[in-house]
Amino acid sequence: MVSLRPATSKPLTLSYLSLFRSQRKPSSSTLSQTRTQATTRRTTKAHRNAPGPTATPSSKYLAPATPTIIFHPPPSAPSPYQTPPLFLPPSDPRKTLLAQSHAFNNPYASGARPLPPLVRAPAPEEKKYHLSEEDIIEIRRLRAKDPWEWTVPRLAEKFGCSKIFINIAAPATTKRREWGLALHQRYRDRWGNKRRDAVLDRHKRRELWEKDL
Amino acid sequence: MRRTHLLRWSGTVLTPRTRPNSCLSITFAIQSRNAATATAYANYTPGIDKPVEPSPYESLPSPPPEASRKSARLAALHARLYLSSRIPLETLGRCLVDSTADRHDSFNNSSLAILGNDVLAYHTSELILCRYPRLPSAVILASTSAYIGPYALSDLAKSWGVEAAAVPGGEVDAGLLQFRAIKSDNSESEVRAGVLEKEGKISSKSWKRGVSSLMKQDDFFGEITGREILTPVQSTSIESEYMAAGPGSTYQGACTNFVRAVFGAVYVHAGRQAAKNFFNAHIASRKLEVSKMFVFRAPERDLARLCAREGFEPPVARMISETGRLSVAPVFNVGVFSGKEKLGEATGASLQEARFRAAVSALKGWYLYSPLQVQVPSDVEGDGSKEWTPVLVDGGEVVW
Repeated sequence: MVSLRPATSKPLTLSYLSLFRSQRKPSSSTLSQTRTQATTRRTTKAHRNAPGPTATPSSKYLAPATPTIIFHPPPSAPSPYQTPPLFLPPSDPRKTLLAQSHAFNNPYASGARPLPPLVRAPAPEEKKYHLSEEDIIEIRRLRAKDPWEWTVPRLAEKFGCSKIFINIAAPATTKRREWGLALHQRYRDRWGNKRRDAVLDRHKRRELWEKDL
Repeated sequence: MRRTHLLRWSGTVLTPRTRPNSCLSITFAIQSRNAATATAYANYTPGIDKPVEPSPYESLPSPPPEASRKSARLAALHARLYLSSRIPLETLGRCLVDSTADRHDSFNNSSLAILGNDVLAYHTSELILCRYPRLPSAVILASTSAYIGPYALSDLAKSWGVEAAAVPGGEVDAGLLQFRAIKSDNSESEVRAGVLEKEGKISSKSWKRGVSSLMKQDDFFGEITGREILTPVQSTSIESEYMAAGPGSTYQGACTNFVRAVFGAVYVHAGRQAAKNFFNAHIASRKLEVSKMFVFRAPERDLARLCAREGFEPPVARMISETGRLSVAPVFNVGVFSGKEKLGEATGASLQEARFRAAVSALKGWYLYSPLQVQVPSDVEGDGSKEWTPVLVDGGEVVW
């Protein structure tokens, strides 16, 4: 069996830190050995952490004879039965009784921690509410005149409002809606098994979201 | 609050009953023993089949009240339910007779079942409304049905150990549930919100029935009032004569009416407080996961609407933590914030899912608000010493 260790390299001393350097780039010129956590024993050893500070009573602060309560729940999703402080009605005694606790649990309010980043970029502009009644009559007239010429995006661009608003103000005529549905049906008919299953699965997953399962 | 006057309602139950159309005078002294019983073996002569003498009770549609005293099953049921001694065995026996077994209202449980249904619905609705004052109407209907609907009550009857007689009749043990059985037809059953049985079929009305209509016009579960009379299934067998003789009921329907009638009987004989204790022991003690009865179609829109109505800052989704964004199995932990207050938090495998679920969690936090000390109206009824604190009434559910 050929040894992979080059003749010039030092005998390898296994330090604790080297365990975590698994992604070291191998040099192109010399073949150097890297140690990874490829064995069970090393992984177990690396995972052998000291218990968290809340898991056991600290002897530093508590006399051994003092009875204590250890509250160390596993990390889990918050219960739906726990009302957020903002949703408590003003008459509820928890509003005042738990005010300290609520403040402690919300580090964002005091500025101790910055608010987490937004998931989506905020809406670019405020709602303008600039359309008058005449504009809406005009939108309806154009949409009724030729729905193929005056589509929803085109009308939204012309009047500077959202597409949802156009759909509310001037819904498509029955003829246009049926044409659109038939078009979609033609596309769906061309789907293969894979895509059809994927879409069905997506609908099923969406139902699980709706039922919070 | 004023006490209700029980005795005004319960005249038909407490008066001595007679059957005017078929008054049979049965004397127990000369009653011949049924040949089917064990001690008849003494008179048995081998080789001669003695014809079984018909019991004088056989002409009756249901066991007479006197038979209740002789039924071991009935006494056992009375003891098992820990009923008060003020509730006579005769009444418990009457609770077991469905209106399809005995058409005469003085001998079946229909009047007790109507009273019991009202008692059950009263206690259930005050329990739900006072415990969760912000619940949406659809969830209130579904939870009412989950507490005292046909499925729950027939399960309760089964857990009480009530068994049904194959065919009702005067000679049957008074401790058996008696009804004219028909096959349940599941194909026609109207299941809405996953909980309802076919009690009344939705008629062909042209308008759409909304939740307000369900709350206002229909019964406690949002079904149209009026029980549909089920006609027996026609068959060509020897049962056809029996089946064609009259309307029938399903096992579930009969069990439901029996449990309702027991509540009615407790109310009539033992009083309001006893009925409430009985309710707490058998209905309110059952655990109901109200948080699993919600379905949200557009939770983010609902939450935005709710915050606008209540004067909170508009809700925004914020990324609390995430892992594996570029992998096949990412996990995003998203919180919904109104200003600096967190309303809800959830994880999801996509950004869209996490946002959706976080909004659902926030809405559940709103709807499932429960006061610290739940007090129901019947706690203070007829008792001047306790003071009634009104239940929270606020904007309620999000309506578009």
